[in-house]
Amino acid sequence: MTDRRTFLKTALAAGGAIAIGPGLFLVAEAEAEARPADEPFSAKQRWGLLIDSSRCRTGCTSCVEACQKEQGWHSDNLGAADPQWIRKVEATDPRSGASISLPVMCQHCAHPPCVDVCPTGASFRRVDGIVQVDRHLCIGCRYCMMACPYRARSFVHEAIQDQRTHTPRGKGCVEACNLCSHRVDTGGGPACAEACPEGAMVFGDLNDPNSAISLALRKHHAVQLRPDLKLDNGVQYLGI
Amino acid sequence: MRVFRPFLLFIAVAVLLVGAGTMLAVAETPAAGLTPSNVAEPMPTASASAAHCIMPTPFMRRNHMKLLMHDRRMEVHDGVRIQGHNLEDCMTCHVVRDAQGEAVPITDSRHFCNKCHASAAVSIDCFSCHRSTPEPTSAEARR
Repeated sequence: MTDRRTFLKTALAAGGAIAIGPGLFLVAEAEAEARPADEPFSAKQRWGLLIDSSRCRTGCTSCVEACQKEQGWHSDNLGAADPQWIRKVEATDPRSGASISLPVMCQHCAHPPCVDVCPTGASFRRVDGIVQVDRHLCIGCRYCMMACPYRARSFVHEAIQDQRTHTPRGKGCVEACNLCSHRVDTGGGPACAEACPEGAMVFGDLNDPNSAISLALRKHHAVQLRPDLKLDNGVQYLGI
Repeated sequence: MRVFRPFLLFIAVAVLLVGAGTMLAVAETPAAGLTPSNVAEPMPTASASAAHCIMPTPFMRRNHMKLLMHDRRMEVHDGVRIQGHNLEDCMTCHVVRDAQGEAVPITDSRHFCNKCHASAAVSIDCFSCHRSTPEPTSAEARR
């Protein structure tokens, strides 16, 4: 059954299309503008990232450094227990010897396993596709870390001072890439994509057919990591 | 032969009740000199940059925690950010600076939040994650 809101939306959309004819462009442009701060997230958008691993240089860590600076995390010399929002992965095919380099972070799945297992609702998916942790609700159980097939999440083991104002983080909570939601919410993009010297990362709205990321995805065959899991990742890769 | 006397039972119960009531009353009466009216009310420094807070001071004294609780849900999950209704804005307006002009953090007793929370003996957990001072501007950081 169609509820009143859905019916009205459909009716309005149809009316707009008729009134302005080929004015679908106008609608698309209006949606691409920065969201006013006092309005909720919109499900019209689905934020995503396209990473071209063929342009990603081995040994370059610009994206990781940019993330550390923007979000205020760094190594505590705890080895595997260090905070890690994004990491560089180098992989070599043992038969051919061909190697690839790519950054791996939260893949912002449409069906995130971390959200499925969270007992408190701290791990959640925003309606615009960003998966993140609400630290107010996180009890530090780390189920999400075990559930994530990409090892994207890390746990804060040490007390922290001097956090960035826009990124509250503290001991006892799980954290991961949030696609720089504070920047996205004000019309920007993630710090890693901006910092990449090769321009190998494209950020944008997967639902907008005219966004740079959608145009690139239409032209090239992008793949998701572990497509067999059918998680519908927001982060996709070229050249792997 | 013992005779059941309802009147005596009534007296016994009444005496017990009066005794218990008296003990409760004594326990609840605060000792002289410790009544709330005798404790100096903490007066945190108001913002220097704004004429008043987002709501009148008496309201904020009672309800700031409710506003923060409501707004954190609204901001993090729904994305609705209202100017002045977030901890960052609180910390920007109510910053306390020391003699050197440095903003004092929550670990310092002079911090705005500590003015009341120390007196009320209510510990707060906001600043195990949130920054308790405004972030230094790039000019300040270079100094």
